[in-house]
Amino acid sequence: MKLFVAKARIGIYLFFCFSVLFSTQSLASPAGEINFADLSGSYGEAKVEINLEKGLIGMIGAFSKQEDPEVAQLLENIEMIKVRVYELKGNAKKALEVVDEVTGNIRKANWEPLVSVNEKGSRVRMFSRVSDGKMDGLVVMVVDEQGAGEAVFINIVGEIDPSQVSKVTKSLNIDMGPN
Amino acid sequence: MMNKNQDSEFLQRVYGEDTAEPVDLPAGLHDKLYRIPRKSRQKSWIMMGAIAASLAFVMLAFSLLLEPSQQERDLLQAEKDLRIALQYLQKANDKANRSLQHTLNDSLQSATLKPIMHTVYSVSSSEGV
Repeated sequence: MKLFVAKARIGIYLFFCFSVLFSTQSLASPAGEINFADLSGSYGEAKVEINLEKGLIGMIGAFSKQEDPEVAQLLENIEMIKVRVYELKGNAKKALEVVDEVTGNIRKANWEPLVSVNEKGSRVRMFSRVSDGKMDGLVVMVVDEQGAGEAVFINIVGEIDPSQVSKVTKSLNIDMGPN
Repeated sequence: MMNKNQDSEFLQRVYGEDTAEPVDLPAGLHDKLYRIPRKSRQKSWIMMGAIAASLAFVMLAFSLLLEPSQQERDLLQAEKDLRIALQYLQKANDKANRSLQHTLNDSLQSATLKPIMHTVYSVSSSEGV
């Protein structure tokens, strides 16, 4: 009987430990992650919606280590990449509201503004987050009202050197298309 | 036990040829002889089955080798997504760089060129007077 009680106690203890572990894993979002408001209600489905997690980014990095060491180096410390692109259909109001809302929130959370551009028909915001002397987050928001207009929201969690991005886009032969 | 006519019919059916005149055989040998074509036919069916199974296995192996696995498909999609993400990031960088250049040029113009031009203009106008 005593043995049964001891086993039951161990079982309950293990169950408790596992449930706590799994619940914290599923609820925890990495530091530097930003949730952009969903604009599909205003502009329809996002033109581009990308969510790249650490596992896949690590695999791409591992595969490109020999062919493209620069890509591998860029991806080495990235944990997550999130991209949302909406076509504005001539009305940038909602997108600009989201830019202002996110800007307000992340300024309060001690994100550092890198670039802020307010031009006629174009608004660009870049913020980075630094923890323990290391950059662990980047937020880029662009609202371009030229033509039909486009709103771009990018959030990168992890260490990224923006100056490396142009090198990597060149080495990957990425077609930049018209700006 | 079959009679001689049945024997020749049987042999014709199995081998499809005119056969020699049947002769009287001891019962044991007769049965053994009858078992030979049955066995060879069974063997040929087994061989056919084995070949078909091997072919099917080879085809399956090839299709599995040629078709990318789910993991490979995920990886290809992730690579594509990464390219798009970097493309948009680069676009934003370019936009920011252009704007910075314009701002710097404008600021430099107003900070240095305008006072110089103003000085040059005032000196030349005072000399003219």
